[in-house]
Amino acid sequence: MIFNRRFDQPFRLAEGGEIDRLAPVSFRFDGKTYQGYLGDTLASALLANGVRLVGRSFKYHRPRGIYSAGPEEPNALVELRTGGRHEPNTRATMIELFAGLDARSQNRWPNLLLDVMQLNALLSPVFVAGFYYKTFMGMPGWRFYEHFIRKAAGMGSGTTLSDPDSYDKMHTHCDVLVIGGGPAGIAAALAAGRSGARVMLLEESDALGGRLRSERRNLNGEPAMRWVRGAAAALEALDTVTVMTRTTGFGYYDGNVIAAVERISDHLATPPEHAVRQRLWHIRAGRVVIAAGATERPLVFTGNDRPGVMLASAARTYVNRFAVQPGKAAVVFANNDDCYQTALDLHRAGIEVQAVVDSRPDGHGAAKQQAETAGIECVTGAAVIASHGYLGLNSVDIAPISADGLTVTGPVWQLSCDLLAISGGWSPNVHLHSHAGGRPVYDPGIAAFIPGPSRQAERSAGAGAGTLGLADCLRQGAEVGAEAATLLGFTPPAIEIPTSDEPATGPLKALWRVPGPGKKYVDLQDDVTSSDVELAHREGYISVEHLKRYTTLGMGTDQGKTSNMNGHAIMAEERGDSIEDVGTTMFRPPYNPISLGAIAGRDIGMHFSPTRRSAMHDWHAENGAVFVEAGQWMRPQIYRRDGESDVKADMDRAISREVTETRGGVGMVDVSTLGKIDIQGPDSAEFLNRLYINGWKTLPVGRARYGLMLREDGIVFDDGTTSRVGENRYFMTTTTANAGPVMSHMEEYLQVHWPELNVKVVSVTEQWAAMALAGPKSRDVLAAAVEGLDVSNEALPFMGVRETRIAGVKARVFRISFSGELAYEINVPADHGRAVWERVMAVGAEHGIIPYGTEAMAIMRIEKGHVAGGELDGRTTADDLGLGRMSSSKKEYIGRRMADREGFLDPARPKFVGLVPVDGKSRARVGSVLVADNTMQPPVPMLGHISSSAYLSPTLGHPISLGLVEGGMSRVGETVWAMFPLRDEAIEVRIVDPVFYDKDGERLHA
Amino acid sequence: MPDSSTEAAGVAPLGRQSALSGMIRPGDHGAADYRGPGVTITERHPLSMVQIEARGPEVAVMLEASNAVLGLRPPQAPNTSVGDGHPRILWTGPNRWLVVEPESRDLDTVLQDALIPGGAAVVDLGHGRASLRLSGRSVRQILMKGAGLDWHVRAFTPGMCAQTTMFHLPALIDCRDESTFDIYVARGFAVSFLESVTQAAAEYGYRLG
Repeated sequence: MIFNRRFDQPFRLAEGGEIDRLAPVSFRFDGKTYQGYLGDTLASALLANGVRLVGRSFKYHRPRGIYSAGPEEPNALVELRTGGRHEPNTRATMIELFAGLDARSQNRWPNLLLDVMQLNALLSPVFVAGFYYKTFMGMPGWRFYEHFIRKAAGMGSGTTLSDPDSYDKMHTHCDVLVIGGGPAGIAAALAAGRSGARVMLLEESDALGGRLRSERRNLNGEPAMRWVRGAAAALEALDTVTVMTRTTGFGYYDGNVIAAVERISDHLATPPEHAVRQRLWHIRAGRVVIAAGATERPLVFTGNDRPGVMLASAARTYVNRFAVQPGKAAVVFANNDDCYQTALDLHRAGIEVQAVVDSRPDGHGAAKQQAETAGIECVTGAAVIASHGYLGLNSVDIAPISADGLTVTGPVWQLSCDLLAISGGWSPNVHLHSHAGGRPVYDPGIAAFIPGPSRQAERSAGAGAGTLGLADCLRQGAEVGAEAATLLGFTPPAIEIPTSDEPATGPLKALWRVPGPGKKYVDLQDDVTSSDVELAHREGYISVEHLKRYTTLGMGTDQGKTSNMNGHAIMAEERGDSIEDVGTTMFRPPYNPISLGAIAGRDIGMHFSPTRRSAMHDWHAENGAVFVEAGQWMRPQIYRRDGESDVKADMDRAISREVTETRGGVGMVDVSTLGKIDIQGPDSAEFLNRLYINGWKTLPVGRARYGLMLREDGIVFDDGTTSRVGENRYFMTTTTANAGPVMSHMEEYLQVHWPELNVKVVSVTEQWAAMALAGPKSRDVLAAAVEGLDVSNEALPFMGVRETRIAGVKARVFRISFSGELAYEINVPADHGRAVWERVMAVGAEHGIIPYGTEAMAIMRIEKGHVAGGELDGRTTADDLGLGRMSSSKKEYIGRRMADREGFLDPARPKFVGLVPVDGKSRARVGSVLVADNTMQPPVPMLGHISSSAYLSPTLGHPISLGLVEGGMSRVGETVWAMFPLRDEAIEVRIVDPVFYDKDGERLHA
Repeated sequence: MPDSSTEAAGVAPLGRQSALSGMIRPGDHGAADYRGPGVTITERHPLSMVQIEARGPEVAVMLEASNAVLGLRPPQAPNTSVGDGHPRILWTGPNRWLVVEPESRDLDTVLQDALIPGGAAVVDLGHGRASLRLSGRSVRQILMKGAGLDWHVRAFTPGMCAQTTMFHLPALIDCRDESTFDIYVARGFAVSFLESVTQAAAEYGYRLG
């Protein structure tokens, strides 16, 4: 109480509600400090402080107030928190109040009271649906206008700072998933949970109860929340049941997968240390019970968007759950019995209820009598036809209307009020059912769409199924929960359904549009009025899907929770068709907006994808390596020396140094990333013969061979060397990029197509650390490193393979070369990789050994004219790459038949060549298109493209490229143009032999 | 690899360097809980890991020979594992198993000698995998964060193993007891995997050791 004296909350009731009056918290809205209580939402705390104006509307900048008390809120969108935690478009009705909360209104300038852009409202007669596109699109300067139009029509703005909090993901499975913790959901979870089934119950708010938290209702003669607390304790006691609050099931996907977001720390100023803010759940459920409740609809009348106009259910929530008066003098207007209960609750909360306006001439239930007994004036057969007030409601116009609701039939009278509670009936939340492929069907009894036949293992219960009475919700929830468990083979015991004291209700009578002139808002978030719907109809956009896209009805972040039904019904009236025939739009996930942080989870930064490191990684890092991502692998791109940085000039110097010193002496590169496959079994040679285009039956033990494999369609798949390391054992290498695909390809052929072959394959990529030692001095270094192995040219010839030891470790040495130099590849078990690498570097020191990176490696292979990823691009044949002569005519192999297709044999196909700039210095970019002449006008025939490029060949002293060009080697000596239009580059290049270096292979065989 | 034979040859043995060397900071990290850390993470190294595989009629021969040399018969049921760890045998595919034990002998050679005559393939993978043991009351929460299988105590029980994607990389997961799991990942992913596991474990508190 002491706090109440210090901080006035003029609209707070003295008692009642779920708020914690011992826990007052202060918060800021638009820079001003207020106070509320723990248990409040930002919306209820603002109302308690008399803040009624909270935002400006999207298009017309109309003053807007709090309209609802739940996720359907179309108006009260605010920017929450500051700095990296800043979050726009947050619904004030869903934000649990915490100490120090800082929120700001959106879409206003300079401030809420004086918003310059409300001039838009004066021009609103011309700003109808489609106005901007009709007026500006196609006019010169659209891009210029667009900037201002987008700025004027707006939502909150995001932050460019990184979010300091962490987000998480989790997978789980259950038998029965119940979505929604209201009475139906609780009953379903109890019924299913007591069968022993694994049950999960998700509740969006901070506690179970649903509407029971907001209504004065008794169960078994006691306040209903007492029953809720008992049920929650009973669920807690079942170890197979998990209840998750602050968790929204927002998407229903194929295979009964439900996505949910758990807001673990959103109700706190900042997450506790090590805690996550939100967690995204992937739930695989046997069966799903959708108990998602229903959303109350507004009524569509002139000025129905003014601050002070509020859904009747929200008004009851504010007085009952939050002990807040949303106004001091109220009028209640509805087309159903909700109005009487609302009036009674407001009356009890000390709000002066001026009148209840019931649009139905008759048909009301028992609550009307209760209201009249309480002294509340009840008017039937009448409607609120207009509201008045500048920045908030101060009076309404009421008039009798005809039974069909189309005309005003009598004199208008005015009532002063600052609160107008409205109800147009309830629309079941059919979103998840719709995500699951269900098509909602129209139920004229409640004038709303209810779930249709289920397409997945789901069934709706309670208000979400169109069952609006409390006793019926409980009964149906228990029934659907028990059914779900039974269908999964459990035997649920009967559960006791509590008795309800709800009065008998009369039927709703639809009233889709109240007569009268002026703007009547259908979709408040997107400023779509009934006249926009009428205009859409006049212009022929009569399907609900076209209506949606033409007017933006239901396209806001609320997905039309309060607007779709009214909009579709108005379209039906315009068309003169039934609502069944007009139908409804479908819903896509998410049911409610989800933060991008939750979707990203921990897959950010270097963990966007896992990182793969070789055994020598740390050595590289300690020796100046600049790493580059090669798929998931981190590979040294270059090694910096003292004083060098990442700038391009330093990089270029390092690349040239590594090439020159390797070609002049000796260098070593980490090639652990190459795919490695162990092949064993008596049919291994036959298997290789079928995989590769060249022959394998004659390869002796201790020798390696280069192989090329095709895809089934005749296109080159991958290349590499395979060595025979035993009588029936081979060791295959693949390119880094295709290590996985080649392994899968081989497994598939062995398991599916050729099970008769006795071959076993296993990936040993990670078992072996691999390093390539290259350069004229590589033999000297190898000789010093190995123990007891003759490495002379005679003993270990080109393509020879030997087992040996280095530093006491068993090693395999392959005399193969990618660089074109005398070179060896050394493989050792990976845990010894670094030690062996260090040993080789140590013994190589006297020969001036250097480590080199992928850039130098790539340049040396381009100089040598070897094909690699740029050439094996999924479009080239063996012939295209000049490798057709490898093909064996004596055997069948994968891709052989398809390689003979007419298109592949076309002599005009681009073929592999080398390219050098005519000016001796211009760097032709990879991807450049080769054309005959740089002055041609489109369409320009394409002769080929550049597939690999060395911006400088240090060996030759000028840039070189590899590419494919029509005519191939027959055009050697001709010049063509390499065009890169995105950068406006045109470089004349000469076609040359792709082998730029050591054409006769003398260095290789030295 | 035959480190034991290296010693026999009289060459100074070169210690195996784990992919996680220098990455494990022993101690308690993350959130503090009065019950102690939610999970304890230990690296299992050095391990011997050898894949054995046979086809057709070789299979029965290999199972017998395995039983004879290891004292343990490879499990027939898919996705199951047997043994107390000396060795542990995990089913990893039809007629394919992984034999794992702390390195104490040249397991590759032992198995080659015993199984190759019967036609089986024997491949040393001891350096190609890194292995973490996760144990503690929160261990299943961490598995739930990383992989989409059903990790409920009712569903994934001791003696079950699975190959799945965990934290976006391929992993072999072996349930040793209700709250202890051995996880194997490719050596190159070890650091990335450890980072993901510790990030996931931070909210429960974890002990590295």
